[in-house]
Amino acid sequence: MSEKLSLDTVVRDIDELPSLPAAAMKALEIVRSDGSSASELAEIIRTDQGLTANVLKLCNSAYYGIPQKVDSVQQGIALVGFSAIRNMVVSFAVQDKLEKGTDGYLLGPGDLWRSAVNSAFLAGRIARDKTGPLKDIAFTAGIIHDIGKVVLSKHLISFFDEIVDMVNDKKINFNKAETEVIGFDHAEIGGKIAEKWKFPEDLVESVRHHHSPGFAPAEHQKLVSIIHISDVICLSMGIGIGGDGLNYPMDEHAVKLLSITEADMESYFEYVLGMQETVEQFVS
Amino acid sequence: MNKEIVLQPGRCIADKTPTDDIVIHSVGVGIALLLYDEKNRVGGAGLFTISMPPQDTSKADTFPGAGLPNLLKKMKELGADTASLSVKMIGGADLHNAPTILSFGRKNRDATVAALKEVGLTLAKEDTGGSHKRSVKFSIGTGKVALQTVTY
Repeated sequence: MSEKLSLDTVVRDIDELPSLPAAAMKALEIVRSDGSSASELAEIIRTDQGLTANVLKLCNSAYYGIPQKVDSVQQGIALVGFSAIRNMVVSFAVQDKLEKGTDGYLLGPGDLWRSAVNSAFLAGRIARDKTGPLKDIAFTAGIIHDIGKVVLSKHLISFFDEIVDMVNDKKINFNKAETEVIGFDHAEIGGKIAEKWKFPEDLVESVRHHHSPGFAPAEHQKLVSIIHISDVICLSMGIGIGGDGLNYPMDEHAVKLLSITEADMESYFEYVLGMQETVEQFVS
Repeated sequence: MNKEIVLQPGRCIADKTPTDDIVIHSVGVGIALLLYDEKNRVGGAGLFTISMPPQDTSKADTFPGAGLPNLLKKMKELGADTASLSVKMIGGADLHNAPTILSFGRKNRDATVAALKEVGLTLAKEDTGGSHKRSVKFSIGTGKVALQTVTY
């Protein structure tokens, strides 16, 4: 049996992660303060051409279904809302980190980002159906939920066979085997990354508990459950599925909390299929 | 080197170009159904992802009950004799310890078996179930199916 990985080693890797782009840091400041204006947010976005293009592309996508063309960030804020645009800024800030390959999980370059975009759209859709107000933050949480894989991937290579053996021998799910073999799983590491980047608590908890929504603080359980369901549906469809396969549980507590029916599930599969052209606009 | 044509979830393809390979990168709960007419060298593949008819009728190929007849029609148009097809089925994985209500892989498999029965086709080979990722390469020139199971 391999010696467990030291949490300090991984924390050092987290510390070495590049900071988020300036626009995202400012957007996060806006998330934490109540007094910011739409014009301040628009100004932050305008300083970054790539970000502006992505924000406008998302405003004009089938995800929002706005009948008129959105030509400016200000117009986007007016039509999709301040909170939605603010969350878009934070979401696109992690794109370059999620676009890299995560060999430890047998995922190629772009696979994790594709999975993140799919999860974000579906999380937004589930939130809109089941909770309404959480739809903007659900999009961002859907994007970042697997960020821990980015850091844990390189360490996982040396432990992978042992984890897989444990999954097969003990019939436990992959993240539980990660914890038994390494000492922690990608969700816990993701939570630490989200904390380092000073993400708000609801996002941190969504990352940390996306495989165990019942363990999230009560006030965040609906959001975490949405991320859990969107993640397992995307995985089920083969999106973002790597060496860990489908060896994750569907948490029945999350299904009950959101009153999700079998028909809802089928409609979510259909929704993801229908969004593939839109997803392609953000992953190519 | 053969040309790779990627089959996306919820789509069906019929093909008779012998240098084409139909590739499915990642099969989860969906069912990859691979049909081949050896005599006329016509292949057909569908990646069915839902076990009930879709609400959106433009997405009929997502559901085996509608997608399979569509696929057979496309194959006939390319000259296939659909009465003598070899039929292989791959996928239908499920989440770890999924309760029956959430066993989408099993439901997709059952729906595909029912659709095959409906059109009078017999399954020759099957690799379904489990909780692992599968990738498939289907060579139109030979009808050969290469299955990669990741990692278990």
